[in-house]
Amino acid sequence: MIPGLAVPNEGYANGLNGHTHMPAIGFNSITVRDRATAIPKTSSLANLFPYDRECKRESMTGLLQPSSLQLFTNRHLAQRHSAPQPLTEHFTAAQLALRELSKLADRFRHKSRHELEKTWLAEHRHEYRGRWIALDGNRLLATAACAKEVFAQVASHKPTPLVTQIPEQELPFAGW
Amino acid sequence: VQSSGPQAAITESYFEHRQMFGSNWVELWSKSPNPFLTAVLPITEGVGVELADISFNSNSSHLGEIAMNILFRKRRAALRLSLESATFMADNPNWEEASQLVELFEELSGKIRLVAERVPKSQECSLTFHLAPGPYDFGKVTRQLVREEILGAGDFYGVTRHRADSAITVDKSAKCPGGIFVRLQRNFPGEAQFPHIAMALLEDEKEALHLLGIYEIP
Repeated sequence: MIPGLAVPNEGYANGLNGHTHMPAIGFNSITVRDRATAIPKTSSLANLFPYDRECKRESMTGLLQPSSLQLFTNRHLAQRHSAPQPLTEHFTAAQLALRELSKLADRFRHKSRHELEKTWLAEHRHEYRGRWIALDGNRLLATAACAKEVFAQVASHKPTPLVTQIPEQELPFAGW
Repeated sequence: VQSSGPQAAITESYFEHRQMFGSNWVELWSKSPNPFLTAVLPITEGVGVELADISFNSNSSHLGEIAMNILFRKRRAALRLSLESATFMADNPNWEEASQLVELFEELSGKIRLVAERVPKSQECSLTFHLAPGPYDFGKVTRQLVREEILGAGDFYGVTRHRADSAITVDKSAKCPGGIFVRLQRNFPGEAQFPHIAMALLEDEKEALHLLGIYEIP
């Protein structure tokens, strides 16, 4: 809490009625009404967020790490309390969530592999000009002069690797 | 457990996950515009993040305090990105919204890895919750976890079980009368992704409840 700051008239302090020492937040400045001064937008909003009493109490019970305190502000805490969730509902929802999480796991694994392959190709393609290569993420599995040889080397590899030929010469981009 | 009476219920929970990268990205941070902010902005647009929800600790006194904070109010979540770590937080996370939260965190994590051009060296996760007792007498349950003849008689006992990569703590809840406070901590390898982390946490939740003698879960 910053002493001497005025009652807010707008912005994030909704739900904080009763707190009389909050700054009013505009788009580009924080106006301190009783002093008619403004703190420039470069000032850290996070540093102005007051630590909530509840946050401190939770921190003592180990619920919040000290680094989290500035983020979970009064504004946020005003919205946070939800109804208690019985364990049976909690775990029924968890079982349903597992299916979605499995799909997400596959998706992200594939995406992450694809990104690693793109990065590897950008960094190493000049070393393998004209060659066929097989990649799994950033691991080079095989390299050969022809596709048949590369496919033969990685036939049993799971998951199916990326097999591609690095062009002999990169074509210059001449515009559309 | 009586099905007609009040059930044990989670009254409040908090999730915090930290990715430590082992080396800093000061050289990237000082670029303008900040490449991390540029990378994560498209993700924030889809989840109702306003400019006021993004802040920098610009008044920090040393480099260790410098961080970008993003509050995802719709998801009751936040990201704190410092110069060598990323911390993902969620307030009252629940399994109904788990896939949305996991997707958000993994997208953010992916962008950070891409900009930083490195993967986390290690990851630490912590899930805490307060559990209202319902039909359970947690004082009695925790008595079975300690040797009262050595410790002396008490109404309630707090216990932590440490393992190489995880810890489970149970203690008397300071918020919930007769309730119990549970903290689950687990370390993950740097390459672990959020869907796997969430699945591991579910197993830890079940294990913690089994420790408390709660087996009536689906």
